[in-house]
Order: sequence, then C-alpha cells, then structure tokens
Amino acid sequence: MEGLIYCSQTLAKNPYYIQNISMNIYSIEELCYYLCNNLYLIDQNIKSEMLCQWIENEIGMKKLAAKLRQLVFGYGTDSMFVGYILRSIQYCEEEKIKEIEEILEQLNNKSEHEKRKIRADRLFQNGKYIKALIEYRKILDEPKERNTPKELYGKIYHNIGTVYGKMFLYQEAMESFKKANEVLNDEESNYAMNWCLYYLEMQGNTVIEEEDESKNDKIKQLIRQKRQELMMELRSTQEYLQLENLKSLKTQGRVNQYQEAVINILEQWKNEYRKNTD
Amino acid sequence: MHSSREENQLYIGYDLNDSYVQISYLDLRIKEPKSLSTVIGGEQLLIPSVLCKRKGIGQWYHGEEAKRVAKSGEGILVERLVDLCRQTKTIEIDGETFETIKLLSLFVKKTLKLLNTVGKISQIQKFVFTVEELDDKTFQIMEELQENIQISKECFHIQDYKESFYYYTYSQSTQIWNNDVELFDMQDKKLVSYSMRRNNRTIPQVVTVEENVFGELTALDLGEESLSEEEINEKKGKIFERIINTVFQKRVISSVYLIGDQFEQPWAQNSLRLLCKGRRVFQGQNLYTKGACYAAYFLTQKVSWNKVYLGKNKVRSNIGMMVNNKGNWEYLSLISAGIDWYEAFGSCFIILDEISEVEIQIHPIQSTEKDTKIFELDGLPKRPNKTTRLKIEVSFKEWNVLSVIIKDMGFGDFYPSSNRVWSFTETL
Repeated sequence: MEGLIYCSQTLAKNPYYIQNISMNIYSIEELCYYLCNNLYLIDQNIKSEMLCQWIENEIGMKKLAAKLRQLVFGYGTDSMFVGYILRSIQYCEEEKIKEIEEILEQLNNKSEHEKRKIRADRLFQNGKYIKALIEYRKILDEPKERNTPKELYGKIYHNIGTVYGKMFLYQEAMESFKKANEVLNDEESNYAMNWCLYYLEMQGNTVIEEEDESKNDKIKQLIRQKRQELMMELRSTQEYLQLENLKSLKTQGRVNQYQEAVINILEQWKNEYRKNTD
Repeated sequence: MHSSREENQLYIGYDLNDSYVQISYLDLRIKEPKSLSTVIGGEQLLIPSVLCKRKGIGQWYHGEEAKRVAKSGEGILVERLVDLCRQTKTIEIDGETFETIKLLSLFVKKTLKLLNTVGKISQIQKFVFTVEELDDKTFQIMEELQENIQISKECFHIQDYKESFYYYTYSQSTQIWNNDVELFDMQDKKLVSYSMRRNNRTIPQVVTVEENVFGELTALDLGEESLSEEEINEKKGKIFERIINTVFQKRVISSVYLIGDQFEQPWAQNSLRLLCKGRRVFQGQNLYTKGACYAAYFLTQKVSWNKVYLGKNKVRSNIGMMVNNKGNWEYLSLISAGIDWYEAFGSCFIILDEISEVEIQIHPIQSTEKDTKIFELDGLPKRPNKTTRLKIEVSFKEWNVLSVIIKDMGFGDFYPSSNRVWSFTETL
C-alpha cells in the first residue's frame, strides 16, 4: 500500500493509557499500531468501556465505539474486537487483518496457561521484566492444567531464570535454571545453570586457575570461551565506547564534561531500569 | 424556502471609490441587493468620498454635509481618501497631523452607520469591499482599514471592480450571460471597458475579464481645438461607435452594462441604438456595490456554482494529493483554483507508508494537463513503517508561487517528533 495514508480523525486531547506497554496513545492509528505489533499482549482487558468512551469522545468515531460496545457487553471475542478497530480505518490490507484475527483465534484456542506464558514472553521481549516475572510466577502458583504438557512449566522456569539473569540476580537465576533442567533435562537449561554458577564463582572472587582447566570441565571451558567472545563484541558497542569516553574525560581532568557525561549515562540507565521494572 | 435563521442574515457590498461610495445590502427575503440611500425613502445612493474638519475644533463631517461645511468656509475638505493613503502616511489639517489611514477609517465608519436602518451588526455575515484596482498598496491599505473599523478577518473580503462585475452578472438570469458580457464605465471621465468571456468547455467554466482603457473621449474634452459643443458631441459619438465596433469584433455579446451618467448625454444616444441591436443594455451606477453584495453571499454560503473567475490575484491551479483514505485511493483537494492567492491555504495530516517523499498534484484549471511535484524528505528519522505522521501545509507566496511546508509530528509516545520541518517553494 505504498503512498500517503490520510489521517481523517483528530488527535486526542486526552490520551488513552495502555498498561501493557506503559504508553499513552493519541490517535486511532497509534491504537492500530499497538494492536498489530503486540498481538500476544492482547488480553481481555482490551475490550473495555473506557476504550470505547475514549474512541467516541476523544477520537470522535461514534459508530466504531457503538459497535465495540456491543462486543464488550455481548461477550465478543478479542479477535472480533481487534478486527473492527483495524477495519475502521483499514489500517492494513484485508489479508493482514485476517491473519491477525486468525492468530488471535488460535490464541483463544490455547489453554489459559499457554496464553499467559506467551503474554509473559512478549512482556519480557519488550523489556518489561517485572511484569513478565509476575506473570510467570502467577502461572506456577496455580495448579497445573491437566491438558497442558509439563514441558510448558519447565520452559517457564527457564524463562524466569533468564529474567533474573537480566536483572543480575544470578543466585535466583541459577535456582530457576536448575528447576527447569529437572523438568526438561535439556542442554540449554544445563548450560544456563552453569553460566550462573560461573558468574557466582567470579563474584565470590574464586579465580579459575590454569590447573582448574585441566579438570576437563567441558561446560566451564565453553563458558569462559563464550565470555571472552562476548567481551570482544562488547568493546565495539555504543555503550562500551560511551564508558571508555567517560574514562578518558576523567583521565584528562575535564571535570565538568566528565560530570555531565556521568549524569547523562546514569539518567539513561535509570530510565531503562524504570521501563524494565514498571 | 429559507429558514428563519437565514432570513435574518445580511450581506453587505461596499463600493469604495475616491469620488463616491455606495453601500448595498442583501437580505434573503428580498433576494436582490438593495442600495442604501442617505435620505430615508429617497434615492441618494452616492455618498461623496470626502471628510471635512470644522476649523478650530475636532469635529468631522462626511459626504454631502462635509461638502456643505467646507463650502461655507467653516471647514477644511479632505478628498480622495484612498489615493491620499497611497500617497502619504500623514497629512496636516488645520495645524494638526493626522494619519491618512485613520481618516479613511473614520470616513468608512461614519458611512457604515447607515446600516443601522437595515439591521444589527450581529446579523451581518460578510462585508465585501470593492475597489477599482487592487494592487499591493491598495491591498495593504484595505488590511489596515479592516483592523481599524474592527471587522473580523473572516467577515471581511476585498475584490476589484472586475470581480464584482463577474458576481453581479452571473447572479442574473441565463439570457443575460449566455454569451459574452460587456461593460463600459465612464465614471472617472476616462472610458474603461471590461470584456467578460466564459469558456463553457471546461468544468468548472472559466471566466476572464479583459480590461481596456480608451483615452480618446477624454482627450477630446481637453482638446485645444475650438469646436462647438455640437461638433464635440458628434465626434465623441463617432469615437464611441468605433470603440464599440473594435471591442465587439468577432464576439457574440448578450448584454452590455453602462456605468456612469455620461451615457445619458446626447453624444451617446446613437451609440446606444447600436448597442441595443440584438442585445440587452442596462444603465446604472450601482453594479459594483451590488456585485460585491452577491459576492458576500456566495463566499459565505459557499454555494457551488459551476464557474470560476480567474482574475489577477487568483490561484489558477487546483492543488491536491492522492491519499489512501480507509483503504481507498482518493484525491484530496488542498487548494481550489479561483480563490485569491493571499487567502489560499490548505493543510492535512498524513502517515508515510513505504515511502519517504510527498507527491503533490497541480492541475492548471485552463489545461487538461496535470503536473506532479515530488518533495523529498531528506533526513527523515528512521522508524518502522507507518510510524511517521506529517503535517502538510500549502499556501501561496504570490499568485504563481506555491509554498509547501511539511512537519514531522512523530507518532505519539511511540516515536516523538524530531521537530524537523521541510520548506519548499515552487513557481508554477
């Protein structure tokens, strides 16, 4: 559909807040964009009277709001709800809308725990670590579903381990990977568990001396190798160069610039942290 | 036929001439514009464009009263107020300095009090002022006048006599304008002709007015030849006939308008007989003020009629874009031909889909060809597809110079605006 898309509706004065992505939206196009790009985050909360009111009062699309209300109170599916919104401005081609509706229908056919795991996975992929963790924990706290393969729960443990790893909580990460390995008995969880072990040993200031290498611990060797590779990759990243620059400002005695750069980097990290733990 | 709300609405036409002004109003109950008389129940339609300051005190008169006071020696006459504004910013009268635009504004304000006999200010939907010639200087003067007499920009419009002639004519019945229409004006002593032509093969039909000035008749009056009045009249008559034949050559003319009481003189009588052959001929003095009235109505009501007038200041092309609106490709009109370039403005919001440029279509109204201009957006921030909203504003800097301004609006909280603005100018 190459070309210019006409925006026939006004921008909202008061935005609609989408909790899943912690963002305000101001237009019907932004709503459609959110829906198309966050399919696995869509849950029954999308079908709300508040969204219908916002569409009616802030965007001025009265007919659409009326139709969506029927679905909210008539217990229409998520797929129908999303389909109506996308078709109201024909945000994408009809084939794409049908594809989205199918995915949502399929999700609808999955077990509750499967759906919620997918949602949690998307939250994690969008950097929402705390939200993802909460979601995973909730699933594990509930009795296992009879028709859901136990591997699902093993994967959930594994993913919890990954989330903890992202938050530098290696002890908790290691324990999760261990549980995952008990269920799944696979190389990936085993590897991840050992990785955490390695980091914990490093934090405990235990140096892996040369004679330790001769112990023939295949996995630890792999980890050390991988770590070296990653360190080399890291040195060419923007973030590393930023820190190198900081070091050089300090060495050169450029106090003001150094302090300003420190403040900027800290602010960046804080914002990222806030986003991840929102 | 009209709702009671529409019946109360008034439209005002104001002929601002340096000899006389005339005001007329259109009330939809009456259907035709009516000229205002300075004498209630009378036919004093012409108000002399003069002010008079009483000597020694700050009292001002206008129109006939100003002439009387000045004649009595008790006041100082100030004439040709628009021309005065063109010549100078200030003038000294009775030992005091006055801004010329303030004098013109005072005069106009005083004349507008006549409207109290017709209705309330709140009923007036639009004022259209019409002047003989609308060049840059006159335009500036009129803009200042608009501010001084406190009429809002939306309610104020200016046009020249040719445009008022256009609105007047096409508000009449079809027989009047079926073919070309001609106007002869001798108000200001020189003879001016307006030849109005309509191209009925275009949609909308394009109307143009060609102006010609004939100095021969005036030269005869000022001639040094010692001719009797009878001889002068005969010569004038012959010159006028020659002018008519030149102007009418190879044209089919439905109607002729004669403006100014000069045509009532004996010298013009033979020519009138010539004009009347197979045509309708009208004589009068208030065509422009009534034309301005009709314009006020059509501009406010946005009544669509299938004609467009292409005068000096008019935009001659339709400006628009092809856009995708809810899955359908449509032509979005931004500026329509026929409006004054200084009032031409159009804007819209669009989202880029797999492209990084904006294409604008320019359709000259007198041609079937279409011109497409592509405006590249260099430095466009890299974002996923369909996440760049742009505001597009088009306007004109001159009658043939298009200005396109494109602003990056970002995409809400997803992608904040870069505040980047692209400006383009295109001479058509």
